[in-house]
Amino acid sequence: MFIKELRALKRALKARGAGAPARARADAEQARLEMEKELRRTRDYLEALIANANVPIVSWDSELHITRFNHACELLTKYDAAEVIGGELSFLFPEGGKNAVLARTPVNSETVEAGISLKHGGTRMVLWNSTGIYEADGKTFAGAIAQGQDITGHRLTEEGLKRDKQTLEKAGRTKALELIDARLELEKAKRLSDIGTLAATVAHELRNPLAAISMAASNIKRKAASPLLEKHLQNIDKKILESNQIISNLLFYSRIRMPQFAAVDITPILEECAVSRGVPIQVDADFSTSHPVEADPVQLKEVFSNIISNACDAVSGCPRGRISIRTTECGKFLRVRIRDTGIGIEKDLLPRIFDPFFTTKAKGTGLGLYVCQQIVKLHDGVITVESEPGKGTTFGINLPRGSRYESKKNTDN
Amino acid sequence: MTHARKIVLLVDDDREFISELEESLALSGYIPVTAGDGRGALKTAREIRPDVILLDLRLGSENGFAVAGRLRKDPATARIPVIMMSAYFGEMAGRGRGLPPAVDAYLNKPLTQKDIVRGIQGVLAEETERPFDLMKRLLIRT
Repeated sequence: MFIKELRALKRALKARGAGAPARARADAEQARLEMEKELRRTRDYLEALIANANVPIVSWDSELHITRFNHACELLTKYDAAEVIGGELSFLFPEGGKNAVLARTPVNSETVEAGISLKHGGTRMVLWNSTGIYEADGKTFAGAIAQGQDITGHRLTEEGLKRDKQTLEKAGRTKALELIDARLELEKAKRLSDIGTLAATVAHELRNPLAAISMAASNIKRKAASPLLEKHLQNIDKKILESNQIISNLLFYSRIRMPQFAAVDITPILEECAVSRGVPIQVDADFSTSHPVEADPVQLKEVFSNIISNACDAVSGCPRGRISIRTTECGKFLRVRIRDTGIGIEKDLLPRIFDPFFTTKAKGTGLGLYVCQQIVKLHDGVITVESEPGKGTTFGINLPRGSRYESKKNTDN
Repeated sequence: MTHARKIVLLVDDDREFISELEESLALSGYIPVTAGDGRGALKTAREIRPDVILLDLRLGSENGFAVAGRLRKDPATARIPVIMMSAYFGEMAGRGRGLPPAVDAYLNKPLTQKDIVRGIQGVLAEETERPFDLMKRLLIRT
């Protein structure tokens, strides 16, 4: 037993003396190799993880030079990693503000939205989650790694939604405005129908006293024929005619309706309107040629008497005022031209003269020309006006010639 | 056609108008008689048998057409021509339609003395033709 123990001691001493250091070195070497192997494995693992991650990952060093650019980044930007690695971070993130935010790199992870440049132009919006990497002292900035999420699609969807929302809001507003318009229109129509009812009643009622006045004037004329009274009686007659015209316009305005077409000669209608003026104004016209047309005689009379009445007013202050009426056949139309050498109409007022309730006369209702235009339109005709202040005004009324039935048949085919 | 002065019954509730109309017709050689409402018109018509009746469409609360209808129903007044006056005929007049059968003619207000005389002469001329029509019909029948 003793001998056995001694041998072991000897071995131990031996080992301690010469063999032990060599063995220890070998052990350390072994451990280092193991560690390197382990490190390499970890690095490869990480590299593989980063390289093949399906999210873009980019890293940079303390100098803000790109150090890593994974496959997902390549796919996203179409850049090769070789083109990018070693380059400035600003190469990928040209946006000043966002780049700065990204490069400032947080102590802990931070999320920031930054557009990444694409090789063929443009950017993709990416939500980056970046983390700083520090030296062993935990303070010195060594670089950063950022993992991104392409949110361009979301952005587009978001923007699309926003746009849709705006469009909807706009549409809603438009709809609301349309509704308001419709309501206003309805109210206007109601008001007009109220006005119409009132106008019709008042107009009819006014014609009774007018009848009495007219009769009284005619009796005065017959009982006391005197040149001294003649002028006054003429004025009364003129005013009765004018009042009756206003009543007609109001009545017509309150219920503009379809013309009752009949074959009529325009000439006697014009003649009647021209001679039934209360004032002796020279009317230059040829009432010998007949001009047949299909029209509503009552409505045409309304048109001509309104325009001739206006012409009379226009020339009333002019010493050599004249009114001329010409009817000509031009192609498919019968053209009636009523020209006066009166005061004319200011250029800026011309476009408004056919508007309802527009008038330049102190006593006008502003309905005369509106009614004329409506009637002519209902006859498929055109009414035109030319005027020069101080020189006079010309109204042109074009009415379709020929049978209305025929022309209707032609348009139907 | 007789040359005797014709009697014209004027029916209107507008006093001033009827007074002026009365004067005007008298100046034109007619004998005007007046009534202010429908009842008065029927009574006067039966009593004096006018040659023609000028009737306003609006007689206060009464309707001129109703009065004309009653005149037609009464054998004493059935053959007297009736001329209706109103501001309401404006558009009908121009188109020559819409005339109720109880009325022979209509006049549009405001009207002139000439309109009235023409209207009266018109219905009286028709009236003189009527016996001829009757005779013609009798001749054809026999």
